[in-house]
Amino acid sequence: MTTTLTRPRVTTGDLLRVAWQRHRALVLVSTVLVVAAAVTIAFAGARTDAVLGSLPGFVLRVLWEPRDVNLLFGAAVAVFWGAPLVAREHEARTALVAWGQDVPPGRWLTGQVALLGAVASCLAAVLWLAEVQLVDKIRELSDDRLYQPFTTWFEVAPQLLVSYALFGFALGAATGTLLRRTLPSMAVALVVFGGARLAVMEWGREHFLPPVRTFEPWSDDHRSQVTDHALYVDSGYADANGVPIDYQDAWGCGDRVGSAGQLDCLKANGVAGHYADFQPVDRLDLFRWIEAGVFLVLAAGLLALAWYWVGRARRV
Amino acid sequence: MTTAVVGTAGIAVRGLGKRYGRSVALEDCTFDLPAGRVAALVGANGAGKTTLLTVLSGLLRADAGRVSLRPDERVAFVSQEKPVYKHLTPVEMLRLGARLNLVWDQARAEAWLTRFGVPLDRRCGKLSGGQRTQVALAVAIGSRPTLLLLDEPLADLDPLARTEVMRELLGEVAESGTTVVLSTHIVTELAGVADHLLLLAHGELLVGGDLDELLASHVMLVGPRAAAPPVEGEVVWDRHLDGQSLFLVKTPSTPAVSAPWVVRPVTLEDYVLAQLSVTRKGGSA
Repeated sequence: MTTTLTRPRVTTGDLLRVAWQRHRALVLVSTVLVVAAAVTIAFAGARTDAVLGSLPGFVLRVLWEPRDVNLLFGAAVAVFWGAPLVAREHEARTALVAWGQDVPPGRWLTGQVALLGAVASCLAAVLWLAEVQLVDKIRELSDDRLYQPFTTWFEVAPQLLVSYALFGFALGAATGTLLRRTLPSMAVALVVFGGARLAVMEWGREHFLPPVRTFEPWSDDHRSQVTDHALYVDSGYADANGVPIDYQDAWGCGDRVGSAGQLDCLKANGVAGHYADFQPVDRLDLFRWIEAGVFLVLAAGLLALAWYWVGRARRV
Repeated sequence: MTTAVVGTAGIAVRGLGKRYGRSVALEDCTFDLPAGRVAALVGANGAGKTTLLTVLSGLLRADAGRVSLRPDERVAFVSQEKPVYKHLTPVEMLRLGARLNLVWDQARAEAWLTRFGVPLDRRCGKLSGGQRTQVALAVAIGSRPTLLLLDEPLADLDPLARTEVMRELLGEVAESGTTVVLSTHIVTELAGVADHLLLLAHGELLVGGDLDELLASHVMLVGPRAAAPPVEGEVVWDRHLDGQSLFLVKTPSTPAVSAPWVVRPVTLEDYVLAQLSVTRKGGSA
């Protein structure tokens, strides 16, 4: 009697179960940590300002700045989920088992990425649920005084949190696939993830669209040119057409700070007023989608690279 | 490299080459292995045995040449490290094998583990090296291969287990007509196991062919110290002690020699050691 079972194909379900078998401890521990963090954040968000005010400064700093939590979460996904995914298989030589059966390496990787990517996205969503509680409470309690849509509030959007997590995961996976060593891959993934996120945060975001420019000719009536809650980009002197002029020391206007003579000096050099560049608050949602799109495209590219590289079979 | 599937009666390897940077792992390797054979892959360290097996397994792409397998050939490869997932138990390793293969025989795989007393519910990380070898072998056997590639399968096993594993393996493959290529350093244990020899040196195939034919076409001559043997034929290897000379000679038939010369049949060990020592001399010259 034969006990051999034959089937036409290895199903996606099989590949997902293989991935679960391999990563269940990591997934469970990560889930517990993220849920614990989310509960803490949401709990803090549900307190009154009196309770929040009595918390130590560093706790407030962590709680009030979802950007830090998001950086940490994405970096953790890159370092602990992405980087070891393929690198560990090479180091432990288990790639020879995983890829030596009837499933080619690319398909095996697809199963692993599908499971872990889905879980990472769910954890990102859990984090978002907690953060949105907190920032809404802060906005309510501060009567909009603390509402900073392009900084603290910007990243509290599900599409962004998911895109950061997937970018981190893809970056780690691609690094591990190329370097084949876990620790160096972790280090490279951490540095590149931090660099990419901070670069977009500090220099990229404000340039997603050309900013709105306002021009104010000289007048006695001072008022802010930047609309409420907008993202400030740039400001300075401008000529009569609203074209920015760089202040030059050679004009010698700096010696007459605050005096009426200073204004005359500037006018004499063609400065007709003041301009400001900013991104108005009604672009908030659009900017969130643009940033999410940037990181999702990067993630897709990195995963394609990893997929191509594991199938190359130039070394084992 | 292309892996073509043609209607040959086994493996056909043509001009296989593989380099890692500047070092040559395989060079112009060509041989045929008829189906159902048990081939011993022998060579010094660094001769290219692992590279050849990995290329045959399809896990590594060669730079040059071609491997042709039988249609629907099912290849299983157990690498030198006998890798298993340390956090999985042997039972879970079999489940992994079942999920990743189109053909699976759970009963055979389990029977292998039971036969060698491997605890089924202990994490592989806590098993001995020999037990991990058995888990890796069980996964390979469970996938019902038609071509079984084993890289140093006996290295982590004690002498008793080696004999038993070889006997069980041969039983398995004889029953199913599986072709086997196994690399090993332990030449003595190949006697009675292998019926085909593939001898690699410096990435090149030195000898390939039916073991009985190879051994039958060589003789070992022992006699008084002499510069040349007393018979016609190619001297493959010679050794000169104080008062005695040994010659391994390739000759189509057993020659007649007069005393004090003696003709001895060549054992697999004689043959392999002679070939290896010749290539070592050649390599260092």
